[in-house]
Amino acid sequence: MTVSFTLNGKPVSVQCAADKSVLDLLREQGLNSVRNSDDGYGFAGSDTMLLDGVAVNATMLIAAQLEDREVTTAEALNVYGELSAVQSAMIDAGAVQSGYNDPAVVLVLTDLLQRNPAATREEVTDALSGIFLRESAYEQVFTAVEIAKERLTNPDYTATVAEEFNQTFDRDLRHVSKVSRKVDAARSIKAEAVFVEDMVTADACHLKMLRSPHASAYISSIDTSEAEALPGVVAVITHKNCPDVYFTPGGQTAPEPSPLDRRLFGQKMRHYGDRVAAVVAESEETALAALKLIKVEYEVLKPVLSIDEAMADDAPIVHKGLISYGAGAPADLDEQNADYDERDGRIHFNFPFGGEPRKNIAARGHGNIGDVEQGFAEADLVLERTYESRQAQQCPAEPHLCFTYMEGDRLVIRAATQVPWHVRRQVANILGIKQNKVHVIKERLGGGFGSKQDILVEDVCSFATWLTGRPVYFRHTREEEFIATSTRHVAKIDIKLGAKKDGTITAVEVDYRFNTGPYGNHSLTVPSNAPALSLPLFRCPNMKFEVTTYYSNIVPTGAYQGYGAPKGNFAMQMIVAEAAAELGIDHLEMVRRNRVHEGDELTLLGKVGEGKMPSRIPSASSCALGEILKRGEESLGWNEPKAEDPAKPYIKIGRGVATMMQKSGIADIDQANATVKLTSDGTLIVHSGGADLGTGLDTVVTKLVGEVLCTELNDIHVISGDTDHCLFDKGAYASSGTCFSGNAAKLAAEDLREQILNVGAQQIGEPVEQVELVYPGVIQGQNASITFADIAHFAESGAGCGMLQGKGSYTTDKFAFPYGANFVEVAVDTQTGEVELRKFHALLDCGTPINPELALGQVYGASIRAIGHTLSECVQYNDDGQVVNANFADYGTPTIGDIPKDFRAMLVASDDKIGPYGGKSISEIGVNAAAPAIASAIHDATGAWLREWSMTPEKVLRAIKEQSQ
Amino acid sequence: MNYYRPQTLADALTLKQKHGDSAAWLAGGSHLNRGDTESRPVTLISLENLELNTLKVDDKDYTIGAMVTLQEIIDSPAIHNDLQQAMALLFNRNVRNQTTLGGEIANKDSRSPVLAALLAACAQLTVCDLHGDEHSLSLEQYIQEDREDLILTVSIPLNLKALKVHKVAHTAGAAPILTAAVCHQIDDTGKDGWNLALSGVAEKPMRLRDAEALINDDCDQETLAKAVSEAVFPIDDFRASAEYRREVSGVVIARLVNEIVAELEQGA
Repeated sequence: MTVSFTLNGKPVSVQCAADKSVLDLLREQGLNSVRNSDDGYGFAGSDTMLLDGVAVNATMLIAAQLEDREVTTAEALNVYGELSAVQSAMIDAGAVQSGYNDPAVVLVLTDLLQRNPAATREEVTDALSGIFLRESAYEQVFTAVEIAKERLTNPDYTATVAEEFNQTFDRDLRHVSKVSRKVDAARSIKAEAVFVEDMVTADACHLKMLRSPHASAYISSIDTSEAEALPGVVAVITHKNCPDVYFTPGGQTAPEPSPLDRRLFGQKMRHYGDRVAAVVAESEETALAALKLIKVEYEVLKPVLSIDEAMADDAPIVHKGLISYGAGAPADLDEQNADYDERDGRIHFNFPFGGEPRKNIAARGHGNIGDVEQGFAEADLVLERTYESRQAQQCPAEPHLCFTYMEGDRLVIRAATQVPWHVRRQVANILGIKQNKVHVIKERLGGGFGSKQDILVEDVCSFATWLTGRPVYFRHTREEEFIATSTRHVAKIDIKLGAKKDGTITAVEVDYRFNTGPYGNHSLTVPSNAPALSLPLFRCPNMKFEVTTYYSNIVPTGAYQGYGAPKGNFAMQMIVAEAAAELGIDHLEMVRRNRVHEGDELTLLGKVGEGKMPSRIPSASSCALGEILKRGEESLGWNEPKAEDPAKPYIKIGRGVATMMQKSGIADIDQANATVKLTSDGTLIVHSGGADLGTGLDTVVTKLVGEVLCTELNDIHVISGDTDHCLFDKGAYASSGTCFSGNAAKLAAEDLREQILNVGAQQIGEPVEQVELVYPGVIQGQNASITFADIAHFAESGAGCGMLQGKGSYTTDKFAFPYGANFVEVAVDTQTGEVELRKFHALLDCGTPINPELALGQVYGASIRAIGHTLSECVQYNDDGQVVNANFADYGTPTIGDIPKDFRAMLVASDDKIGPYGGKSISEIGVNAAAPAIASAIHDATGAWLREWSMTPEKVLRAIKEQSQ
Repeated sequence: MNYYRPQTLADALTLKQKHGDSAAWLAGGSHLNRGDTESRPVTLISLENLELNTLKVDDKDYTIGAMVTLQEIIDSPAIHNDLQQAMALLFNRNVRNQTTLGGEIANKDSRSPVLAALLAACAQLTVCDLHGDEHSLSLEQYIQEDREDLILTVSIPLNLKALKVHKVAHTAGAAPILTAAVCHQIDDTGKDGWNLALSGVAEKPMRLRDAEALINDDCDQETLAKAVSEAVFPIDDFRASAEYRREVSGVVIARLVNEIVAELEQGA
């Protein structure tokens, strides 16, 4: 049919099927602002548009419904070269991270403020109730609305949105720790083509995946002939025709400390949603139709779903493949391989880290300091508890997706990845080609949170292009995101703590058991970070731990913000809270009495590696926990009377606290590189290996270079994450961006500074010792001066020294640990188990915050994700191991209706000597303390201990009843 | 796919007669076009131009056209505030802008908080059959008999004095574990009437008539809670167990009744 409607003020007629998705229709019209996060479930609002002036979801409309209607998209708000009041307010408030859903936010807020220029917080909440902001957690959007209100009447209005940190340490810094606009925000908020989906060409083939309906099964037979015969089908890929290469999806530095235990396609299905076959076809419809023509027979096996089941003597074995080692093979390897089943494929360990596949063990580790037996003997109280955490999903608004094509004999991968160089290495390895034949271009990411550290779509998409020569687009559905990407590992932790009557902790012993699911990506490193990022929060001379990671048939796990810390910290903080209660000591006082202090040697951390032990014992080089606890106590009103309502005696109020820590990259393992070049007019182009996943790393790099070279930020352009053009960087994970990629850029700028000083001094005829670099980009001597532009002009001239370029390469053997705490007040309905978060105050010490407003956004976002896994989020299964809630709403993802009433993020600075200008990481730490803080608050309110995530109303009610019995 | 946008009800009914079960009525489309809809109809007949989008108040009822959206009900100054708050329990303005009242009812979602509220508010439907004959039936009847008549209007008695609705859910945007609704009405003779309803608990949203009778007998909160819990035979799913639903249904219904009684006493 012909559909005629008005699109952004202009009449449009489109010939299409009546039931064509309006999302597809609008994207074909070149409108990027309507995006698809949830396949028409009406949850995420990435597809928000106005229909006759009201906000609706494009994926839930068919083309016929547009007839005679008026459609407005976020593009209607764009003015070339300018930002609207709401667009600029969003950026200034620090509310923009990836920008994936932000055009939708701008559209509804603009509409709201047009209807009601004095919109209240409640009205803003209502307007945004259909839009999912996983990254920034909404709080800064309220600030943006206030700025926009002012700016609508006074376009020059400026606002103070974050504290000034320079005064804290008497530093004279021009850019660092001051608010400036995120360098990539304007493009994303205007819905320019910045994401992978915006790069897909019209001739791209579509890849669709047939997935296993069984959690554990062998493929007995597979017939793809009918699918292959369907017109428009280009290729069908199965275990029979894919490369026989085993790898780990985990994007980690090689040799990876994870078992290489998966192939593009295997004969054994190890989880619900595992890959059976891929169809590459000339249209999405054809690909989907072809999937239905593939005939598969399965030998269904009993699935292993829990840690206890995986540990059982008679447990089904998830990996019975042929085991091999790159180095250090165990003496009994032949014995282990005696029952090898060819259908299971192979499993390779680069080096030993405790894996015993025939016992369903993927990895093991251990460590200890002091003498725990002695410590327990000295204790007046010994507590033993078990804490469990369930499976949480990262839920980026943009699903995993990839677009690949050939340029001559080179493969180009347009990827939404946190690890461009690992993608290049892994794809080259799988395809059996040299790395110079692979070009990875990291586009902007619509959220990652660790899930895009794993290589989950690039492998098969690349192979499809390499096999067929055709451009191929592979995009996960939201269901695939839940069943076939990566999630937070499941954990069951037995912990024993000894303490004296005064609260002094004398010994801690922990048995960490993790469930990695079907494949072992991160199976050593996630669990090892559980002790590493929780036990050193407390001073205790006697600590001992064991870590064991089990295979199972749950859907895959992997890297998720915080890594092993949220689970490990839940156990450690909870047992401290329980000990405080047993000893009759105020919980906060117990934390204070035992907490880590600045300068402490973190001996235990010398015993925990990520495939390699640290070369020196780390120390808490900076730590603002003392100030954090003081400010948190005040802001929450820890000692204030609780305002319980006598008319509602069933509502009980409680308060809780938990501390947290993280790393800022991995010493001795990570590396980052950057170059800075002086262009012809004295401006600067930075090539950073860092992979900004929306968190503001490119802005960090810009500011650090501007700080070193005394230039305007606008004179700096950053190109990042492109494997052809930038230098190696291990990628954006382990909270390394600021310290590693940032320090590399700073070193490159310092290298260039030296060159500029030398050439500048030469040009003005003064000794280099006599000149200095001054703002804005001038070499000032005692008698003369010269600008960067003139230096560049000379350098590039026929008599010049050649173009000036600085290079920086950063490695370190030192750790920089950020610290923090969550202070929480809850109101618990003791008759229904509902928990209301009345106050959630997150206080973080990230050293010097390079981008203070963006740092706050990191804290808010991390907090809401952690609140999610604490209270509502959980991948759930039926008895057969099939996921039963593979969509945002049923999974339990929080939105604006779930944010705490009084939600605060606060930065408390410390003076760190390792990070650039004292900066430490902020990207992961914020998820590590919500669960224990909330659980201890629930206990304070009700007397019940919640020892398992997620703490649903039913579990809370059950715990209250058990406690009262 | 066939798509029709008839201009009159008669034309719409003729089309439906012609296409039979292969055709579906298209209101806002938020249910029919949802991503998890298993089978798409071959033919869609749009209700857009049938003038079913009026909202009227007379001396007896609020009468809301089937094509009025949930958000339009919230935005209308003519509608009782408690009803508006009940519509807002569908916590998603984008979806409320698209979802029509008729569509929400016809979808008969067992977990719909809106249906629980409308059941408690004694909503009456005007429907028509394929011959164009109009008749009235209660929402309860429509749901329990699994009717598929075309809904034209929804009427809610003006004697609604208070409607309190509480949903228990994992998150604001999630399908509720359960929704409890309590409506207090005063009839023409000045007599109190209490209507209780639940959704999310059983296969269909339901009225709790036995428990309603207890309130009129001035039972205490505990007795009422027990009666409600005993009256339901809840489902068991990944959101919550049957046992939880049974217990909390009683607690919440009794609490809502108590809140209304307290407000009445305060008012008195």
